[in-house]
Amino acid sequence: MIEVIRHIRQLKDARAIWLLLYLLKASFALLLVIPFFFTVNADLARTSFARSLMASWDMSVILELFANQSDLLPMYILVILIGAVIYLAAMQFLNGGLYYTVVSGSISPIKWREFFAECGSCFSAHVKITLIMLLVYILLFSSSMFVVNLFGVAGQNLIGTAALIMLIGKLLIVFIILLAASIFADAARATVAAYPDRPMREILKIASAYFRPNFAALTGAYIITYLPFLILWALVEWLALRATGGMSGIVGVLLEFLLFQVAASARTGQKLWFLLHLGRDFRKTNQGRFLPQQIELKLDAR
Amino acid sequence: MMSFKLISAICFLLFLCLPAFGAVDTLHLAAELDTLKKQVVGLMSYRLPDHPDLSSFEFQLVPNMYASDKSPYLESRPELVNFFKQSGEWGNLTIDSAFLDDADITAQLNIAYTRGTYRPDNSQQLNGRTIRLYFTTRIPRLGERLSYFGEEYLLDGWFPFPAVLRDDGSWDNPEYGRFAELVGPFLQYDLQLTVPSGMIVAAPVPPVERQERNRSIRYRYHFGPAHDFAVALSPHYLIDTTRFGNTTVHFYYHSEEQPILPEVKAAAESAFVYMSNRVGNYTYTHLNYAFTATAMIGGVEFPGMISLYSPRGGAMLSRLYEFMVVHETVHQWFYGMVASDQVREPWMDETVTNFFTDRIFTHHWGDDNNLLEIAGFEMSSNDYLRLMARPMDRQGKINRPAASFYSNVEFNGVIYNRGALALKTFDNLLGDSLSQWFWREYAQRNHLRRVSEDDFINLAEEIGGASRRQVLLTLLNGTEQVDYGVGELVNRRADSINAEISFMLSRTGKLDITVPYQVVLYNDDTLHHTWTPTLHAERITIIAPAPAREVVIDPDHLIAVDTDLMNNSVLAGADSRPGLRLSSGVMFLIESLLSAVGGW
Repeated sequence: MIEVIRHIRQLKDARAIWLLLYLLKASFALLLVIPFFFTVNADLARTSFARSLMASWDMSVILELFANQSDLLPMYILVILIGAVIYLAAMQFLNGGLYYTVVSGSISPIKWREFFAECGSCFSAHVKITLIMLLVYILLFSSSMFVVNLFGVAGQNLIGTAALIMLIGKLLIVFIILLAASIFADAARATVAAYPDRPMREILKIASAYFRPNFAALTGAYIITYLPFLILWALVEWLALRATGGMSGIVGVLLEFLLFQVAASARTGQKLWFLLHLGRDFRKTNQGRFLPQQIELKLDAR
Repeated sequence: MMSFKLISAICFLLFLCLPAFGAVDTLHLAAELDTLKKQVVGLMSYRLPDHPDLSSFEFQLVPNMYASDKSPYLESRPELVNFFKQSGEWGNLTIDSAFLDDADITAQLNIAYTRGTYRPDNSQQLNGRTIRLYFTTRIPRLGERLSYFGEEYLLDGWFPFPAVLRDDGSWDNPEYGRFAELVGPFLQYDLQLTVPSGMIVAAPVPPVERQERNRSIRYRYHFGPAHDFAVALSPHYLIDTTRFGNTTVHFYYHSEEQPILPEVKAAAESAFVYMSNRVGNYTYTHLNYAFTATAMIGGVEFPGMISLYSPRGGAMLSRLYEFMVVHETVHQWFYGMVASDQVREPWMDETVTNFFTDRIFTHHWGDDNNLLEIAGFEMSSNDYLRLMARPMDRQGKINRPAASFYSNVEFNGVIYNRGALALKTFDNLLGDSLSQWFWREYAQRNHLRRVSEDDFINLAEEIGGASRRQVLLTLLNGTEQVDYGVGELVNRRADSINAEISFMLSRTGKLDITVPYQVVLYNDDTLHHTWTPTLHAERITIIAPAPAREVVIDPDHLIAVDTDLMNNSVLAGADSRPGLRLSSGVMFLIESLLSAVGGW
């Protein structure tokens, strides 16, 4: 599990993929936010009432804005959801190349031709895994809610801080259950990369054979990669508030935007870091098509 | 000297006679809490007043609000009905036997839901006779005002309660429908309550007598005049005592609530001091706050006593809990000392109370007071009122009975929040000195009295004039949106020195009042004007030494009910920075969503 810390160095080699993934996410978000900007700016730019938004997330402005545009709010949400679905589809395409790269270990330099060839050839397998996992997530979410509600019954007499700790504990249980499913999905995708010709049933079997003994170690590794991101995120939030509070002008807005993007790219880096570790670990027991070819020496022929 | 003695003698005689007309009646109660059966058994006795002529007696059986799923009160609380159905632990009050002096009248009682009536067949006068009701109250598990949960009890309306006697001798016995609260007469209480040993009782006043018995303790309380007597009980209570001025204040809490106690005390004191200074002194010797475990997420007010739901940790992450503490403290004035009919005119206590809650927050923490304080988000008490009121802009008038509301959201939105904004508008228009006069006068005239809407409106006219009365009526009874706006700002060169500034002022709704507006020039001068709207929109043209950078109508937000504050100002040049910042934040949110969905 501690190996994962060493694997952070590989992020440097994988910076091209990191940049690609971050830019893809940022482009999608930018495309989705542009219509939002034009709509709200029409209201905000002409009134001095919106000025307080420069210094803080003033709810009075946000509330007025959304109260005035209450009919547009469901539309925004719909547009964002459609965007998220398209992004999800795009990611299924890229997953082929990504998992191929992390499982094969051929990170530096990235062979883009191979990368995109894998994207195309494994697309349907990754879509299938996503659909299966969607069902799994729904089932797990409802069952984890059932479990935490059982705890809830046991702890219904708790009040004050004890109740808050109970709530955090419940959320952690749900998070760990869903995290386990997410790691299983990663194992299944890694299996597709190593055994692209196998049917889905067999892929899931291989993935679960890998997942079961390694579940605890992988969860620990995920948490190790996640913690620095959480700290960075909190730091960005703190700095962003000071940037806008201290420099209430376009400089503060730009600085805050850059800080947000640092946090967004860090999240991409976190997942990539974990997958670099998982890919390497997976290859130890499941070399699949990445097994080095045996060379026949043909000594007798001489 | 002789005449002085004569006058003294006459005064003494008058003093002896007066109680018959002006004194408050005494309600005697002896009851015992059975924690095993979760019930209270007892005897309520009440001497019927000498005036006016009485041919009947009516009383209230408030626990019957929790008696079955047919209860009109529970119509708006389906979750509570489901809970009671599952647990089977409904609440009710049964009269075991009733006596008029020594005559058994049990068979002649007529009881329907929460209304009990005794009307003798022979039309005899009941004045001066004593009614005795032996009763059993079953306490519902996780009710609201009457509730038990584990070893925690909250008892309100837990004994048979006389209905409110009108001047003509008839009884006002309200129908407890949706969102109703107990409506009782002002009474003096002589109350004995026996509880198991170890149970700590939070009552409006300390007991005058405490008698230990075998495994139980009997407390005796004298309290009043008050229109309710509620107690909270728990074996786990810790008590913190302090003083607000001359009033002794007790906080009954559990060890889990200790961390939040300083904030609760500070909020309570700020409200208490503000109300004492602004409205009038608190009447009772004691004020009590008790943390209780009930189905109600919020606070409940009783005379001399406040029940607070346990914040369960999370609520104290914001200032909303302190908002609630301030709100319940204000109720000691508007509900406790100035009572109203909470069934027919709920705005008279809830609206007034929420209006003062906002005022107290603004007074102590300024216009920028922040209820959230999370991740740089800011929401003032005024923003909170607007947030809750906006969806209810067109949901009917404020002044209407509690039962006419169909949902909690509607009731809260209209009565608590839109109502508070309406009163804030009225109060802003009165101005500070008249406002102080109005509220002091209102509290003094109606001290320990039940008021009606007419009392409020007539005083508004007396102090603010006919125009303010009209404003108040429009605000309370109007169903239209009110919006003042400014737009179409154009600067032109008038001559070689001056600029011609032209803009449109507009008004929506029937609130026809003169409003201030200001024009901020590019040379940083500000021109102050007022607009008396005769039309719904009017183009204003001003010649000024510099072009206008900005025009603002109602710059101090006097018209708190204005539904759109974005159009209250207009800039000459566009400023895209707020839009950019908001979009940057939303983009980050979308990126986080995409990371969650796509995994990257």
